[in-house]
Amino acid sequence: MAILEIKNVSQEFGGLLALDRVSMTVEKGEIFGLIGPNGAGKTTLFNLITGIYRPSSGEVWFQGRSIGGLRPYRIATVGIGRTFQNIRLFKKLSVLDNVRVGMHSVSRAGFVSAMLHTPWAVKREKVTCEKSMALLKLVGLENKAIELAGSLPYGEQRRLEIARAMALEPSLLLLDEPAAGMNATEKEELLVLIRRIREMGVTVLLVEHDMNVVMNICDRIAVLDYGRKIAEGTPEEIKNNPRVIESYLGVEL
Amino acid sequence: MEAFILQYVDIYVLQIMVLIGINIIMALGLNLITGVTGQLSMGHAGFMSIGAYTSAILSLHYGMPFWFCLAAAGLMAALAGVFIGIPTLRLEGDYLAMVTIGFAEIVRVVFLNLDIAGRGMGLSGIPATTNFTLVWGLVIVIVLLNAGLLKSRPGRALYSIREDEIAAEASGVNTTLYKVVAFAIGTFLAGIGGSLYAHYLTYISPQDFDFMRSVEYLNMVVLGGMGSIPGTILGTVILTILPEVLRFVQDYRLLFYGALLVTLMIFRPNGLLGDVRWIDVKRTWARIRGQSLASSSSDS
Repeated sequence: MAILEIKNVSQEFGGLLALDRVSMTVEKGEIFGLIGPNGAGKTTLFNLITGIYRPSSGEVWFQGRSIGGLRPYRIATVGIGRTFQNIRLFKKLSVLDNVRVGMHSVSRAGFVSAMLHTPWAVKREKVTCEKSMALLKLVGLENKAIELAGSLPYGEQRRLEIARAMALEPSLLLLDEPAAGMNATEKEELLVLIRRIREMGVTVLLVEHDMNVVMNICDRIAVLDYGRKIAEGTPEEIKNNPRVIESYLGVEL
Repeated sequence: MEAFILQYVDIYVLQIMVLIGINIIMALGLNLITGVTGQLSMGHAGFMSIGAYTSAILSLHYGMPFWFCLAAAGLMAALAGVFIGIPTLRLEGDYLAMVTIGFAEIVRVVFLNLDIAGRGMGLSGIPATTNFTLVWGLVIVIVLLNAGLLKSRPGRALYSIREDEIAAEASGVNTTLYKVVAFAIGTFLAGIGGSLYAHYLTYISPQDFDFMRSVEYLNMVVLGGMGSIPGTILGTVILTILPEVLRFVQDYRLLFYGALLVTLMIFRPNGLLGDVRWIDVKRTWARIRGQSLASSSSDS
């Protein structure tokens, strides 16, 4: 069953065609990889799915409803979480608070009950806290809960972003270059984490340049080049696709 | 209460204490907008004047009871806040700063030319209903409500907007709505502050609410520490007392005031308490105590 359908989507910036009639379908429960050279339109596609851009034409369907043109917070609320290529944490908030902000749409307390500290709000707050700690445990940051997010080392910041995205209890998780800047051990741990997230019933769509990571973990892969989809298939198929080799993977001499 | 306090201090000090209370209410409102949510508002005095004039006109010309005037002052200021907040806060960036500067200027010129507001003469003979007990009672209530707000779900959402608006949206926060609500609460407090001010001095004129006054409130928030309630209170206390303490240098007063601000910003760029967290204070305290325990046990 398809969880995300991108139908004939184009995105123009002035005269530049960043995405040119791209179509693809992500199935529920799979790990779907998106690769391609720099400037191919991968992050543009992410921004389009999460509502930061409005598609110039075409449609985006998520769990059977059209989400093209919805505001980003609405898209987060219907169940699409994401991380960013250039980490966007709330640097001056604690690690725990970062995850608790992620739970915003799951929790409900409003301004009045928060100001008055109603017993209901206090109870909700406790639940939020426990769930957030469980997520920190998932990414191995439970001992860093009270540190400031900005003070964490790079690899931990990437994992915290994943925890924050998981906090909105998404059915689809978008990871934009999760392995960037990680060393070999951290990459191994990341693969384990992504697989665990899939086991929790979350579909994963990821952009990544590290071919070891992509070929290792993805069920299916789509390749973008100059805003066009030039291939789609299993890792084996992609590795042997002459067009992909020519434009992205390169030839071994 | 007043009589009790006057046993210990003279009327001049009492006056300053009341002004500190009013300024704390004002500064906490601005802290919510600028310090917590990160939206630069440079026209806080404009909203204060809306509150002050609303309250003064209602009580002078229509004989309304004070509590009614106070509530109306807050609501009118908040209404004005929502009115200019909705179109401006939809945008990212510092548009709000420019719009609020312009808005506060317009408000000042309108009151300067409005017959019912006494034109340039201002309004005098406003009933003196503001007193120490009322002001500080309100300060306590507002601080408690504010603290409750900031350490819960909506408060965290406001901080997240300051930190990274795109990431806040991606986390499910309706940033436009939250910015407008923060602005409405902040300007409501400015209206309340304005009303208390009018009914304390019993005389107001458009010059009381000029651009420099907006800048002073911004200074209080920035000096104390953006987004911190104790910081804002500390900044307000210092910057309310400082001009009084500096009276002895007479003409050089503003020079000293400016030099102090520059010095503080060099040594504490995040404000006095801006980057101080309660949890760090507790940790440091525990460490100091741990060390002293360790050293005393090694001595024996």
